[in-house]
Amino acid sequence: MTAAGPLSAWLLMAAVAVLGADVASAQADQLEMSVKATFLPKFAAYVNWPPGSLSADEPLQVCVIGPDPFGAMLDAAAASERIDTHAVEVRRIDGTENAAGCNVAFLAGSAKQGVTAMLGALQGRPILTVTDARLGPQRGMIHFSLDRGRVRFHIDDKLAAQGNLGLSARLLGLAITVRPRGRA
Amino acid sequence: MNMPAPAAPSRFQAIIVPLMVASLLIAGLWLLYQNERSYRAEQVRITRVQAEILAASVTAAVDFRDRASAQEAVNALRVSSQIQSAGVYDVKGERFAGYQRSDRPLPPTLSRARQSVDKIIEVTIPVIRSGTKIGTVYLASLIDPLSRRLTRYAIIALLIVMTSLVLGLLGYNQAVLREVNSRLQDQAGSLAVANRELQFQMEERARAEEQLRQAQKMQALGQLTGGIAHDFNNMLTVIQGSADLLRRPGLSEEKRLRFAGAIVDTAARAALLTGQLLAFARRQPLRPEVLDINQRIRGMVNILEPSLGIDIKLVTDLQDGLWPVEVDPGQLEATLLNIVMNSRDAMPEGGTITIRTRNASSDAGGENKQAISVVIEDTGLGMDVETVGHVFEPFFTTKTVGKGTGLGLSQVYGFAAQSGGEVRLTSQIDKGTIVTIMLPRTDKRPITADLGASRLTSQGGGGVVLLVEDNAQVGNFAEALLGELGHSVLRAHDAQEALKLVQNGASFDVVFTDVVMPGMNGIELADTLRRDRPELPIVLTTGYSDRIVTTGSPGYPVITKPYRLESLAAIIDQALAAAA
Repeated sequence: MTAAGPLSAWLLMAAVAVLGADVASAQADQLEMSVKATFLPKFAAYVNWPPGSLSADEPLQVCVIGPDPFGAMLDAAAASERIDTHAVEVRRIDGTENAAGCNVAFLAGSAKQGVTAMLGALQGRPILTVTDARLGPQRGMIHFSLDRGRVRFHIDDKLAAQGNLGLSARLLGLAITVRPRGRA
Repeated sequence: MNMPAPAAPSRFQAIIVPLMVASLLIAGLWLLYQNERSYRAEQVRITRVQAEILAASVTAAVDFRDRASAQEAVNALRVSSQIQSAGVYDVKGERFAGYQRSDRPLPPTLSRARQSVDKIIEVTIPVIRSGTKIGTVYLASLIDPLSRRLTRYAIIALLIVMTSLVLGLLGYNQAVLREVNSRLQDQAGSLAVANRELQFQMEERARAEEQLRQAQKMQALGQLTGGIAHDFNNMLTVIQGSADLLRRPGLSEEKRLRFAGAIVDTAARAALLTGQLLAFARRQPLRPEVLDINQRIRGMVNILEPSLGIDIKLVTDLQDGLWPVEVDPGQLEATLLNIVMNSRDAMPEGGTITIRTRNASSDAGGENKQAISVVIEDTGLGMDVETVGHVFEPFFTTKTVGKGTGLGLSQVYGFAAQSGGEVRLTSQIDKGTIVTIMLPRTDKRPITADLGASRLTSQGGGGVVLLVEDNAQVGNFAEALLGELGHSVLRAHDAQEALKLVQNGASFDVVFTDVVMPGMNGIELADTLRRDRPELPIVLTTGYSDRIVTTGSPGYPVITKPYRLESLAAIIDQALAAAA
């Protein structure tokens, strides 16, 4: 054994530690994304859709605009959900120009179109915009945020009002903060 | 009194109350039973509702796994003391939120929920969001312990029992009242019957008393006739004898006058006696007149003195200005005569009779009563106290049989009472007797009539008198009198004869008819004659007539038998004068 022996042991241990931490945090991230994935379709059940935005026979569309952070988890969650008579469908698109037909849109934000731009494009349309604090500070109607280790969300009811969407008080009750829609 | 039969309605009433009570009890018990039966189901329903409410309120919390929110909602149920444990479970059946009370732990998973126990109701309600079951709510609730339920039932039962008691009491009261009522009615009925009976008895008694009085009167009258017949015989002897003597030829004027006077006086006494009898039998009409008693007494002295005899002195002491009174003159004369005769009988050895009149006034009763007193005093044998007590009773007499009728003083008593006054008698043995008659003063003025002193003052005579009389002797007598007065007489022996004379055109000025006649009576004859000649003067005469006495002669002047010459003359003249 040469004189580099204890250093490499230390390096090895550090690597393992980092790796371990990585694994742990990766696991935590997984859990977080899984919860968010299950929440995403559920939001639709607490929305008062304006007439014409959701037809009876057609499935409810949950769109991910930008790179999809959920992956198969979202498909699984959508498959197991049923909102009234609607099944839940997942669509992945890269920009808001294809957003027609979406009911719920998760704005991931991409190099091509940032979250702010997406929000601007979708403003006033009856589409429930969901953003994630992980991906940026810009907030849609619902904005995921971790609160003491739990997945919770902020609600911007004003944006929802602009899009002619009504949000259930029960949902508002669960939010960390609610930006009220203003005087009725 | 007819009473309606109360039997049927009262029986109905008697059963209605117990029936009501029974139905009330049965209904109450049935309700309790139903309540008990459905109690558990009811409690389950209530618990389910509570669970449903909880489920609705935790829907979002379960959906978004917000434990704190869910716990808040579940804790709201703590206010219910009955809920033992409440839990919210996720779709997998894992406990998500909840609480429990000490003796009933909340199952950690639904699959491990225990079986229901009698005291506990467990319900599970799915949490549904948009048609999807996302979780379950579990509630375990305590049923009211039996003791509490029984308490509730006991209260209800108590209320029912109290109501029943009240009803029962009312019914009982009603029954008692009915009973009392019917008994009262019975009593009233028997009282009415008794009352009627009593009244009937009273009437019977009154009738019997009246009959007794009448019988007594009849008996008395029967007894009287003996005495009266005796008296009358005496008087008739005098009259008969005097008449016989008058027939003898060659009588001196003095003797003739004496014998005639005897007849007249005796006849007068006989008339008074019949007056007494009639008064007693109450068949004489009272005709009060306003009189000056002093005048009357003065007039009577002439009649009284002769019958008193030599040994008895009659003294009058009459106050001047004596107040007038209103009495029947005939009754007055009879009264004075009775008393004076009694006094005479009480003085067989002679004595003095004093007649005194005075004005008297008394303040009895707070009113100033004015009356006159007529006192007849004698110096005779007197009466003891015991006799004085009976003296006014009818038929009471101290005289021997045949000597007195016992009617005199009772007539006096009756006269005084009928005239509105009173009579008092005091007496002392061997000293004498004082009879005092009080008569009330009248405000009316007396008509000064001259009586006794009137002589033959017939003004004209000379009229034709239709004399109707069925009794031959009386008719002859009347004819003689009328002739003596200067009238000519047309004689009929009854009403029929009179009417026939009239039909045959007989003319006459006045009718003088007896009342009591066979066939048509005098009054009917008078009415018949008056129909053709309304102004015809008619004079009736009667000794005794029911009709005249009870109804008064209907507008015809009446002269009662026996009548004196003067009276006949006067009444005939009056009748003729009235027609003229």
